[in-house]
Amino acid sequence: MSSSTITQSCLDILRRTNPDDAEEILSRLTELVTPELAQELNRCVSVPLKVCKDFDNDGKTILACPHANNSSNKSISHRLLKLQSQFNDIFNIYRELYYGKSSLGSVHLWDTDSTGFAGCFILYNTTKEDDSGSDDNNDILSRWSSIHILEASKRKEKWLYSLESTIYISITRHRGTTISGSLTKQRQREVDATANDEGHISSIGKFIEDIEDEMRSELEGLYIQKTSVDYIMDWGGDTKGEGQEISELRKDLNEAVLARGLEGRLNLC
Amino acid sequence: MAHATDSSQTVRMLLLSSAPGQFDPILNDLRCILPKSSPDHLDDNFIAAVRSEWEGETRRSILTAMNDGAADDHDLCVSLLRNAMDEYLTRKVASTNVRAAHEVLKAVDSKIVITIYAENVDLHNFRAGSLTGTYTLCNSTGSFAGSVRIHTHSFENGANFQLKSRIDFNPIQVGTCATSDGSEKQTSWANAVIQQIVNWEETEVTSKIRDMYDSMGASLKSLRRVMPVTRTKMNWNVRPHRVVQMLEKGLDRETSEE
Repeated sequence: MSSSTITQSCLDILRRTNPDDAEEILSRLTELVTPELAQELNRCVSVPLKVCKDFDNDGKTILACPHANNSSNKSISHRLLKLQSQFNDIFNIYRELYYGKSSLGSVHLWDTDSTGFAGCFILYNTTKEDDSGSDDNNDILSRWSSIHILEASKRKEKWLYSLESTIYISITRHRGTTISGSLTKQRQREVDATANDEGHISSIGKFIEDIEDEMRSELEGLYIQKTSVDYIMDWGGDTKGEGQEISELRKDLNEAVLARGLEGRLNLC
Repeated sequence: MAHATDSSQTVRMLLLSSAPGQFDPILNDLRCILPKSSPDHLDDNFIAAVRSEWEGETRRSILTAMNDGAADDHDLCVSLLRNAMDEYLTRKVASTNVRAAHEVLKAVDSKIVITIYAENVDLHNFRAGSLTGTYTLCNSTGSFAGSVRIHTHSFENGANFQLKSRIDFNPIQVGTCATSDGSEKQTSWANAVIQQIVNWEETEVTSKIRDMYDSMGASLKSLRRVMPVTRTKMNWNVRPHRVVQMLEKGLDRETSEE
């Protein structure tokens, strides 16, 4: 089997198993393939972010991201280091505006072989909801992970940004019910080159904001709704004695709501 | 490459974590990754054993089983419940996409266990789902309790979204069934049991799941807002933010000097 077929098979397995277990499943898949393919899989697949303590920095809470960890082994020029610092400052403002003060985020850049650079922009947020009505008052955790991998390359007087964005969500309610999922999109955008690096901050920042808005809208209006039991388990029968007319009306309403969600997605495009 | 035993454990773990209807597609993918020429290739007996384990865990085995309760055939209560369940599923499942089956067995401690399994596997439309209901009836006390597990999967356009739910029902009383009761009373008892299953599955489960989807907007908003509080998109121009930072530093210095 060719290596691209094996890679496709691994990606297919990731799509058909629990998205919450993506990290463990990826780790198991890398055990089945050659080291070169394992490296390729780790490079192209994003897994949900995790929080850990940075013991080199007074035990500060940081995000663990394999792409970011890989970048620490790569070279970064002084100019890019300065850009990374500026990016982190402004990305913090973006993070607080959309995700709140308790969220986490960071930007990691590295030089590539060409005249450009690459970067990993990560965001993480959790919320706790009390399961109202329960006696032991357990908190329930929902999670959001955004991983944006960007490659910037210069072409004559323009910059081409290639962005691959992955969002993982896991929403738990009523203690026994969880909706979890992952969505990945790839986009490209070309912008005029500016005299200084501040143009990158503006262009890339808007690019990430636009794609996050688009993906969030699709998550809510389309993909999550398609996991609904009513949509998938269409029994077709009548156990309540409502009659065929009511059953058909319910079916029509379901289809209309889903079509509206799809229309909203098409309008965004 | 991993040792053969490690590969088997990995393959078993991947197959057991399949979403509804995904066992065979994942198996096909694993056969691409571990072809016959590979020392770790998948043994047919091993795959059959894992499939049996998966179908047992999800209770999908009920679809292919012959409701092997020959020993219970003389038990009147079990027979009545089986007939009532047959009628219920015939009425409920009119769609050709949904496959459903039930099992009514007498447990070791004389309790009666009713299991329902239903699935809709529609891979062409990138969706699949299953529902497993397990109900335990204690005929000596009339106590009836149960739980429902739901697993749905939507995987269109490279996405992967799954709903997993387990809903437990509080025990209620449905009365008892004795051989000395008249046939009308016995049938009425069986129908009351089935009606309770209908109430649980079609009212309580539906309302809890719908509550979750109705409040999805609020849950997502708490994770990531649609728009910032300012109701305008982020200004990515660096200079205004730099000015604000300088002003804030200046204010902090004045406050500390005071």
